[in-house]
Amino acid sequence: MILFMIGVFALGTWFSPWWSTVVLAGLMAWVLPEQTKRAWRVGMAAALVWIAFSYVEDAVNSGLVSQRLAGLFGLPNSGLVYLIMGFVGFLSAFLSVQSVRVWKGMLSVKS
Amino acid sequence: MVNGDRFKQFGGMKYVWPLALLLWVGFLTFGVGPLPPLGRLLDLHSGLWAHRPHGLTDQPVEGLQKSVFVAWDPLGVPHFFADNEEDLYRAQGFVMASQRLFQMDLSTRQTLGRLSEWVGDKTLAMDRFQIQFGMRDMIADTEKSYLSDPANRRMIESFVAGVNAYIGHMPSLPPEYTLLGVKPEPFTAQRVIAMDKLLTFSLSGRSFGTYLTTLQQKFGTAKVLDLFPEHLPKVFEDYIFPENSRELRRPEAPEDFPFTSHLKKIPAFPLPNPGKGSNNWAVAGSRSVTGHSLFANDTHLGYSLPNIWYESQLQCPEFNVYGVSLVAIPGIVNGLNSHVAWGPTNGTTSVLDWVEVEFENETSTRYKLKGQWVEAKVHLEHLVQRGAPTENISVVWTELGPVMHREGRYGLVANWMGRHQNQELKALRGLYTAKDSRECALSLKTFWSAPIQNFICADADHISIAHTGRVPERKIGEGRFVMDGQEGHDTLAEVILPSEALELVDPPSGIVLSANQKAEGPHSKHYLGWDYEEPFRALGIRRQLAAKDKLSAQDMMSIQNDIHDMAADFLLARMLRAINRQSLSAEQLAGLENLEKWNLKAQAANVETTLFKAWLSQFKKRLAEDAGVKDLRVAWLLDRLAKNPKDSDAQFLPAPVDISLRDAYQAAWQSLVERFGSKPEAWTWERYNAASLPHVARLPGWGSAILPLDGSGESVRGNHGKHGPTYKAVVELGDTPKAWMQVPGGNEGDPLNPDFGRFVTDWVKGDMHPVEFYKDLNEAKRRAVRVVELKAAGVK
Repeated sequence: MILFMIGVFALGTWFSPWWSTVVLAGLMAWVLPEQTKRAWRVGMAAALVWIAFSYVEDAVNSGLVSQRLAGLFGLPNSGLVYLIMGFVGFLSAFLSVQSVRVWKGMLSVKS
Repeated sequence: MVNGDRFKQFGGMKYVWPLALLLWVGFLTFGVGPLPPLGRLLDLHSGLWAHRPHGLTDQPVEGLQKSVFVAWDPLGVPHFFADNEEDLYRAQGFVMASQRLFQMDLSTRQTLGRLSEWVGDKTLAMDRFQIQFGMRDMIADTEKSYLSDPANRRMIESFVAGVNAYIGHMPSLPPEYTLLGVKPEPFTAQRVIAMDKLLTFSLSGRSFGTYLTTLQQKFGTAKVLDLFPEHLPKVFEDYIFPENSRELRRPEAPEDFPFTSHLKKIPAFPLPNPGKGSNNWAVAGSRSVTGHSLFANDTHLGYSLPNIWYESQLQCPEFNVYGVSLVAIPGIVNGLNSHVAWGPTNGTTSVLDWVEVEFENETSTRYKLKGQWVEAKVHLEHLVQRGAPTENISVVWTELGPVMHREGRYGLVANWMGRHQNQELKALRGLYTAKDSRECALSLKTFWSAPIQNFICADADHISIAHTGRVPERKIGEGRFVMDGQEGHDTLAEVILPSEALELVDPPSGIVLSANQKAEGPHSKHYLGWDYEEPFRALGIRRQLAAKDKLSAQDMMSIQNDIHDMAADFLLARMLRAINRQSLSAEQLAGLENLEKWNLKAQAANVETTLFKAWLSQFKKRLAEDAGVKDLRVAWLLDRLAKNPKDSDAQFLPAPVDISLRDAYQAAWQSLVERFGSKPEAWTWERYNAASLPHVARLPGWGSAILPLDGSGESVRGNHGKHGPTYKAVVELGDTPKAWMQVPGGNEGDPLNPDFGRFVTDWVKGDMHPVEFYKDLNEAKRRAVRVVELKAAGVK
C-alpha cells in the first residue's frame, strides 16, 4: 500500500504543482478510508517522495538549490533542506488525510 | 479537563484538522511576515528545484536580419560576430538577458523608483527620493534626446528587442523572480536610460553642499573653510593636471560666501562615497619596455554578484571592440579596439549644486525668481508598493531643479547636471572606430556630458587624459554651500569650453594618471569646487611608476595589486611620535610596538591594519565627530599632528593632541576586544573589513562569504569592504594590442548556474586573465569552446 501511495505522490509531483500532495492525500483518504486510517503513513509516503525528488533535482543542479535555500533559511548545512522538504510533504499529506476523515465523520472523538 | 470540556463545546477535534490544514495551506500559499510563500518556492514541479541552468544553443532570434555567431571562450566570455551593427546589439541584448535578466530589471528599477513594487516598505525611502529628485522626468527627457539621434536609436532599440526576444522564449524564469513571486515586464529603452542614470547618479548625484551648510550654520564660514580647506598641504598634493599652471587664481575666502541659508533642518542627504573611485594610468613608449604605450584601469564600484560589468567582444564590418559594458547598456563602455585602449575614473568635480528658493507662503508652489512670483511645475507620480496602497508624490520642478525639502516659506532645490541633455552612448560609439588616441579623446570631448570622468585614451605611440564632461565654469565658491536661488542663476549652465578643456596629451613625464584626486591645484585658472578624493591612491601609483625606469605590463598589474596603505604612510609615524604612552597597558604598548614594526601592507591576515584603522577612526571621532563634524580629511589631521602635540582646540578637541591620541587608541583597543575578543591575533583585517561579494538583491547565502581580500580604502588596490575594483584591465599597445582583464565573479548571473561566482578566487588573489581578442570569426572558431549560431528570424 505504501508503495502505491508513493507512486501516486510521485506522479502528482512530476506533473503538477506542490498542492497536488494535499489534493491526492485527501482523495486517497476519501476513496480508501481503511488503508489511510493511519494518516502518518500517508504523510511518510509524501515525505519520502518530497525528499527523493529534491535530492535528485539537487544532484542534477550540482547541489546549488539546497545550498541557496539553506542560505535563505539560515541553515548551517544544506542537507537540512531535505528534512524541511520532508516535513512540508509530510504535513501537507497528513493534515489533508485527517481533515477528510473528519469530514467523512470517521474520526471518532474520544476524550 | 476543563479545557477539554470547552473544547468539546466547539465540536471537539472535528474542527482542529481542517483548521490546521487551512492554516498550513494558507501559510504555504501566502507566506507569513518576512517568509516568502514556501509552497511556490519549494515546489518540485516548477519552483527553484526545477530550475535548470541553460547554455544557449543554435536558435532563431526574432528580428535578426542575418545569423550572428556567438563564440564562448574558455573563460565564459561571449564574442559576437555580426553582419551589421543592429544585429550585433540585438544579439548582445539576447545573450546578456540570458545571463543577467534579473539584475537588469532590479538595477533599472532603482532609478525609476519602482523597487517597492517588488519589495514592499523596505525600499520606500529610496523610491521616494528618486521620484522626488525628478529621476523619472529626467529619464524621459534623456530618452527623447538619445532617441533623436538615429544611430543611438538603432543601437538602443535593437538591444531592447534582443532582450525582449529572450524574455519571450526563456526556458525558465531566473530564480530570483520565483523567490519574489514576480515576472519580468517587457524591456524598454527607458530601462537602458535608467541604467545610464543610475551610474550617473551614483558617481555624480551627491555633493557636500548641504552638509557643509549645516556646519557653516553651526561654526561659521571661516571654520568650515579651515576644516575642509580648498587646497591640500604641499606634502600631500597630487593633481591630475599638474602642468596646467596657466594663471594663478586667488583662493577661496570667507567673503566669497555672504549668503547663509534660512533652512535650519536640512536632511542628511548622502555624501559622495569615497569607495566609488577608480584608478587609471598610461605610460608612454619612452617609459615602457616594449617601446609602446601601456594602459591600466580599475574601476571601483559596489561589490556584488553578479558584477555590474558584463564582458564581451563585439565585431561587425565597421568595428571590432573588446571590453566591458554595464549590465542593461548596449555596446562596450571600457575596453579597447585594435588601435586604442580607453577607460575612466570618476572625475570628482561636483555637478550637484544646492539652491534655496523662497515660496509665497508655506504651502504655495509659487516661488520668487528675479523679483517675480513664478509657478513651479508640479505633477503627481505614483509610488506603487507591494501589499499597500499606492502613494502619490508630487514632484515640484523649479527653474533650477526639483524641490527636495521644504521648511516654512523656504525650499531646497537640487541643481544637477544629470538633468541636462546628454549623449554618452554616442561618445562611446565613437571609440569603437577610433584609429588613435586623438580620435578617441575627440569623441569623448564632443559628446560626453555627465558624470564627469577622467578618461584616458592610449594608442601605441600616444597617451592622453581629459577631465571629460560638462565641467561647470563656476565663480569662486559656487557650489560649496547652499546658494541663494532668487536670481535664478544656474551655476551649472556655463561650462568650460572644449578648447580650454582640462587635458594632458603626451606629457614630457611620459605618464598620465588619475585616482579621483583633485583635477587641478592652486595654479589652475578654473574654480573646480571642493569635492575630491584625497590623493592616497594617486600618490601610491605615482611613487611606484617612478620606482622603475622602464615598465612592463606585469608592473602595471603589480601596481594595481599594491596594498601599501597610504594613510598609514602619511599618518602613522606622526601618530606614534605624538601619542602619550602613560597609563597604557603592557598589551596595548605591545600593540604600538607592532605598529612601529608594521610594513604598512594592508594584508587580510594582519592585525596592524585593523589596529591602525580603528585608532584613526576613534581619533577622528574625538577630534571632530563628537562635535558633529564627519568626513574630516587626512590633510587636516596632518596639519593638526604637525602642530605642537600639547595644543588643544577648545571647540574641536577636548584634550591636547597627545592625550586625545592615547584616549583614541584605548577606545579603539576596547572596541576591538568587544567585537573580536581579547586576543589581538584574532583582530585580522579580513574580519574587521568584512569584504564580500553579496548577491545583487542581498539574498542571504546567494553571494560570497567574507573574503580574505587584501588592500584597504587607502591603498592602490582599493578595498573599502563594500567597494573596490570591480573591473581591472591592463593593455600593452602595439601592432596587435595584448590585454588582461578581470571581472570578479565572471559574466554568469544565474545563482543556480555552477559558473556563478566563477573567478572569485582569482579576483581575491588579484590575478587577471589574458584577453582573447579574436581577429575574426575564423580565429574564434579555432579557439572558442563553443560557437552558437543565432539565426535570422522575422518579427512575429
